[in-house]
Amino acid sequence: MSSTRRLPIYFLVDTSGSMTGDPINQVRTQLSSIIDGLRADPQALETAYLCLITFGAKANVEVPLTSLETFNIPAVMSASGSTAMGEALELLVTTRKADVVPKTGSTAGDWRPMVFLLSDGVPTDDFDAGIREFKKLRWGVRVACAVNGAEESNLRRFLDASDAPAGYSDESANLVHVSTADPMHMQSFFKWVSASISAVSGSANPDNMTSDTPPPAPGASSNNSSVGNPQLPPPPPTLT
Amino acid sequence: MAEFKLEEKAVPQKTINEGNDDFKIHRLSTIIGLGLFILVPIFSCIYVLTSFVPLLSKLQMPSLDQFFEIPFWKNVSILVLVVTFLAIMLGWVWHVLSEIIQKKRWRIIDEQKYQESLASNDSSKNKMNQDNKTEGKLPDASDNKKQEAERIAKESAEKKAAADKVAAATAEKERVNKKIEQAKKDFESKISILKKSIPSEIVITPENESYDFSICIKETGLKFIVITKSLPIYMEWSQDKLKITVHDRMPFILAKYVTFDVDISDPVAETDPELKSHIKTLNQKIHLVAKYPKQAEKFIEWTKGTADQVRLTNVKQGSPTKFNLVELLLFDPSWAELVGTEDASNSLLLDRSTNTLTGVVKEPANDIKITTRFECKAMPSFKHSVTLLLTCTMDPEMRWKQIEQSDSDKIPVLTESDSTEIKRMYDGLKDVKPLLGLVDDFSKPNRVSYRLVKAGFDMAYASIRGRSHIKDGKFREDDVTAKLFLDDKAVAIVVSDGAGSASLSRRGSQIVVNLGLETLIKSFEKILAEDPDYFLKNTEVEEVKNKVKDIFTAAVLSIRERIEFESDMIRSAKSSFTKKDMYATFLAAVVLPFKDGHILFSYSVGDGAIGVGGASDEVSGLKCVPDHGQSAGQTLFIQSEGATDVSKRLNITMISGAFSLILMSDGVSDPCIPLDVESKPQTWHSLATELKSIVDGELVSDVEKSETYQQRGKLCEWLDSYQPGHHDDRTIATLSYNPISS
Repeated sequence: MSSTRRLPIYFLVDTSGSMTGDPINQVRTQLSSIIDGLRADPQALETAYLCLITFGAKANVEVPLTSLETFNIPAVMSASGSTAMGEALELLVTTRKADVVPKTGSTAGDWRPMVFLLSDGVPTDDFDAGIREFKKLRWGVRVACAVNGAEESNLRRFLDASDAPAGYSDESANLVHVSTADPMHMQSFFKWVSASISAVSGSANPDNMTSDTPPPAPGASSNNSSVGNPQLPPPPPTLT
Repeated sequence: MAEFKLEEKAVPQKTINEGNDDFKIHRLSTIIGLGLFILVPIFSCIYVLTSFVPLLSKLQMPSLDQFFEIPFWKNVSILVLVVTFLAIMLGWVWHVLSEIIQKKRWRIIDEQKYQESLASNDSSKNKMNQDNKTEGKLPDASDNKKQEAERIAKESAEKKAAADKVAAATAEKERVNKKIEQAKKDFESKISILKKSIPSEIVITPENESYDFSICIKETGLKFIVITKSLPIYMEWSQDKLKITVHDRMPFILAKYVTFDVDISDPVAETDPELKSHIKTLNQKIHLVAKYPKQAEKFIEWTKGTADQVRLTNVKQGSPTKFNLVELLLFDPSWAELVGTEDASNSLLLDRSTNTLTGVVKEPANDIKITTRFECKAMPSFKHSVTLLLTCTMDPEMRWKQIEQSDSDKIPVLTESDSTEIKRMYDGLKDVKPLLGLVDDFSKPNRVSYRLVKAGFDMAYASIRGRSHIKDGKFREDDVTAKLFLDDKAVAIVVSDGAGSASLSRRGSQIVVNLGLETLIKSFEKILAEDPDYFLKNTEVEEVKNKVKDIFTAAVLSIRERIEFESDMIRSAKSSFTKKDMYATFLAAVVLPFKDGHILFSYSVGDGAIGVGGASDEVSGLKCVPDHGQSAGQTLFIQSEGATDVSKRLNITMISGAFSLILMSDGVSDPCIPLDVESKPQTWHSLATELKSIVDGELVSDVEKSETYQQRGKLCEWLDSYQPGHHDDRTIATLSYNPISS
């Protein structure tokens, strides 16, 4: 019997100074409610592995890739310093290379990782280097979340697949906006994140994103910024 | 008069005598002192210098370079000696000079005093003589003399009054001095009594955590003030009860001792203006020493370093759980005793002998609070409590089983719009012929099975709806069919897996298996009708291959045509519908009699697997082109470009004797056939053996039967086996051939 293919999910959370206080607390609360929600989904419980990377003055692996079953959000998340987003992407690549079993001829490996990038600011470090490393690998669903009206251009570069390896163009990418001032807004975003993870972990083939993939189920395609992942539910219209 | 004289004389005489005695002693001591002052350093210098003679010869003072070559400490020691010598010499010179000056001054003062006293004696003698004279000469006195005598008498009276005054003041001074002396003595003796009763060090023990000063204070009547500033915050000073109490022993035990100040004063002296300035307040330092058992120290150190809340590793619902609290909370049972725990979920019990929590948490829950209560081993009054947080996660297997049992036989949940849509799609199709299993809601049984034993063949298949589909209320998307033909001498089996996200893939797979089987059988029958010995006769593999290629190509094309036709029909009712909504894979196998055995044609598009076991190793193994592996993630469907790449996809195997042919959808192959051994004959031999024992328990029926979870056959039960992360639809078809049973 072959082992279960894991679905690695990376959360990259901005913990720069501007996130101090309410924003970071809300992110923490919502992340832990995502965990609670996903734990009710047997499929996610069997396949989802989570990793939390934070970036302020430095990028740091807060919680290494851990099964949903044993994952716990740190009791305290603090925010300070600048926004080392480029370093965070490089760290993401290093972590993924170390943790995720690649697909080979004789092993199915893990599914392509999902990445959620959450930031309220502009990178203060070498973002280009980070993006370069990031684009060398193939990723699954990518979601960029602009918190409190953060500047979009860098987040778009994170989502943009035009300069990525061949066959990458059909990958799913979403840009959403959330406001920490509105708890309901935050909640709807994280609910959608949770639903997306559930959908991907429950799909027969989370990697299946080539042109041969059937189109989204009726109603799944909507006028959001999705580049077309069939499995992903559409983000709530308030977020786009 | 005599009294007066004595006093007058006594004072200067005493002064002089005393001065002389003092001077003698002083002189003697000075000479001895000076001698020592000079001789000791000189001798020590000589001693040291002689021991450094070789060094000094090296030193050669004029050469600075050489001087610095000498090790530093030697330079320093010489420097220190020289400086000390100079300082002593200077001190001596100063001392001698000051001595001389002092001596001169004393002489001057003494002589002055002596002269003064002599002078006053003479004058008073003279005056007295004069007085006597005047008294004696009174009868012969003239007026002038009389006046003179009166004046003198007056003066002497005045002098006497003044002398009396001085004497009174001196007496008063003496009295006050005596009083002060007495008060000082009293105070000192009281203090010594007090010191006896208040030791400079007070030991605080667990039995006695306070110290009462009132008793010793009462005895002496002294005033006692604790300098509150110096009293550490964990000590409490109660002024009215004169008592110091440890009110927070933890820091006290850790500090081991504390010092505080008390001011002791005499309340009587304080109110007496004469004594007030003379009797000083005594400042006393008192040490409080903590004498607690070692265990208490360790216990307190531990409580300080332990968080109030400790998170345990998550546990899985229903699994036996064991937490070693000694390892977890890092306490030592020799000083901390775990006296009890309270678990909010009432599922974990404490074993006090091993300090472990064991049990089974039955229901998933977040942050279950488990309170642990500790007592210090040597001091049970020292308590501590730590809250453990435990999260119990759902057991997916348990959940899946529930899903399987409760929902497996329920029809898929359809919303009203779903139903309307399905109705519309069906309406677009209902008039087409043939229907190929079409029903009005495109549904199919959640689980089916079939077993036929005939002409040496034991053929069985089963298909079940995956748990993930049950959970979401979706239809089974897999499909399977099989048939004996050619007078039960040949077999065709087709398995199809509808794409998970295609809305009508269940219809797609239905078309694939039904039309695929029909087309293949028809084509083979046609060839064999024209030439019944076609395959027996034609030993040329290439020739056969070309012929069969055409047959499979025709099958794929006819399936595509049908799917396109149906999707066009549906599109007329639902404009967004495309052929992609009916994506499905295609796995087909045809077994024909061949020479002394059989020939197997297998063909696959997309995930899943076809294999042969139970035959010789040369012919056993994987009998299809794996569509995973290198081109990972690029699942193919019958509609895909590569589906007609027949020469690549067609597999021809000639088998003699017994064999087991197995076809499976990816719901079975993913968990069942590890990729690295999928082509190995052994993999297929063992799978064939396993399946044979399963199929043997399956009822034989000529028609496909629909099953329920509660009344499922052996093959369906086998398909239900739990594999974490694998909950797709599962379909398996096996064909065993045994020449003996034919």
